[in-house]
Amino acid sequence: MRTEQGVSATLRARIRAGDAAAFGQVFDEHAAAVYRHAVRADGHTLDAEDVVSLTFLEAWRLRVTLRPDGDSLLPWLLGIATNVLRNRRRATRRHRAALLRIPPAAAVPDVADEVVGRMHDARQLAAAAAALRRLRRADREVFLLCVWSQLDYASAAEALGIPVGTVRSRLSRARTRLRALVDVELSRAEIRNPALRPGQGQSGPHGNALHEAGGSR
Amino acid sequence: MTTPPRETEVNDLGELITLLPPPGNPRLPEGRLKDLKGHVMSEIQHATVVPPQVRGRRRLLIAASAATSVLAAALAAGLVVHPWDRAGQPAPIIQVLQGDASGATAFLNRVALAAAAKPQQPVGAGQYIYIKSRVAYSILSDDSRRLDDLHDREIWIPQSPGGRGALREAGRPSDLGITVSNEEMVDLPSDPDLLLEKIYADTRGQGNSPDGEAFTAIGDLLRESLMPPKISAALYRAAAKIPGVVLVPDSVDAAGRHGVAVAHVEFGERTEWIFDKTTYEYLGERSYLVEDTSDGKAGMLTATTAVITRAVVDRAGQRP
Repeated sequence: MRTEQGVSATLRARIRAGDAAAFGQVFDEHAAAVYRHAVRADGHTLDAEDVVSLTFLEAWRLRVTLRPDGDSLLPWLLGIATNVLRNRRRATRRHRAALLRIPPAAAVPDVADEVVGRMHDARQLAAAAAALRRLRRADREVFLLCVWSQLDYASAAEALGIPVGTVRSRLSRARTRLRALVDVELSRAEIRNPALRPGQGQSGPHGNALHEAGGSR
Repeated sequence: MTTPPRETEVNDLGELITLLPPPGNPRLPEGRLKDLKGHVMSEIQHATVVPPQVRGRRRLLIAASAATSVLAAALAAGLVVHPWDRAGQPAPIIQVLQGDASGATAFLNRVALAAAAKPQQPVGAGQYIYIKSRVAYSILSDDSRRLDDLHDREIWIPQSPGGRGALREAGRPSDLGITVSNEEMVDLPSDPDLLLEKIYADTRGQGNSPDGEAFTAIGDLLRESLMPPKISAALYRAAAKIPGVVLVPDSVDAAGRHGVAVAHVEFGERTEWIFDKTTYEYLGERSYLVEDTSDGKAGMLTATTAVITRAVVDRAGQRP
């Protein structure tokens, strides 16, 4: 997916200059990733469409601030999405009128299999987000970008406007915290079921958030 | 992402992804993505003044007018993220003066008379409009509002369609590609009523109020374009007809020059166009909050600019 540096530089310049066609191209390429990021961050799909719209409206509003050089525009967009998720009320207030004009979604066909699938997905999302919320906000934002959205450290640093060293230290704090949570949950599970040993990838019938999120993959 | 991650990154991430794996792969149906795209594209394209012949002739460049495109977004809302430069200082708090609603029309009409009396600056096809300004905008960082460092901004706008624009901001050059030309930007009716009607029509549908949008669109043209005297006079007379426009007795631009300002308030933020008290020359813009909002306290400066030079040069990148 690596874009040629030259092509990317031209795309950046076109967006900075207000070229809507170029911006449409960026939407096609990255909207799905922004949606995925929003759903996973929230743990549900209720607001994710609004977050996608707000992210792209904000990106357009802030297009002059796009760095002239660089590869993919995804880190920039996910940085804006992070700000939107963090300052949702402010972003919503700014684009209130625009949000009201989002066309309503068509009714989803109610196929039984799909409903079951969606319920399962919804539980999995909610459980993972609950675990995520036990991280500090700053650590959580870096975790979302680097681990779930797979930006490298430098891109995450660019997205959040922080030094690479800070990305590293926040991830390491997230890791320490998650390890501790896993230990706590494992020892609880062992008390309930002494046969259960760490590292078997199982989750009990009342599996905790960490395991439920992982075990069902 | 695009650079190969270092080995330690891979190891760290490997453990993290095992500890808390991403929950599934939530996806929007293709049709719904298309809906959202249609919505975003229609919002952003109504947000800018587009000269009519650009729509017809060069479909690829639905671009906003160069002036609108480059700074409008920043000034319209006063919030700018500079991911590459988190310097800056806490935004200063200035005194908010009472605006005078009755004085604005008379003042703008005097500005229009002065503008109409100016000699027309000759510009040849293929030449460039060079505008140098000094600017600072507020930076959105965590929860505090800061103003970035005052820096120079130079833009080269092609006079004729098809030319490539250039920008140099805080010493960083960038190529703007084929931008909307000055000729297209200033191709506007010289009748103030028709002009205002056109501006309302072109800016209709944006999130801000129609009056606020019209004010912003005219402000963009004042800042970065070179207008024939007749058109610039018409713009001032048109601005005088926008509801809610007030006169502020004293203001100061980014270069420290004092003047009289014409201002409009949108979402608790006032944007001023500053003019010299005696020559009625356009000096620059200033924005600040006029009430306490979740963004900051009344009087908090959100943008300041000053036009230093406006000239005609032969090539992009050339200084007068």
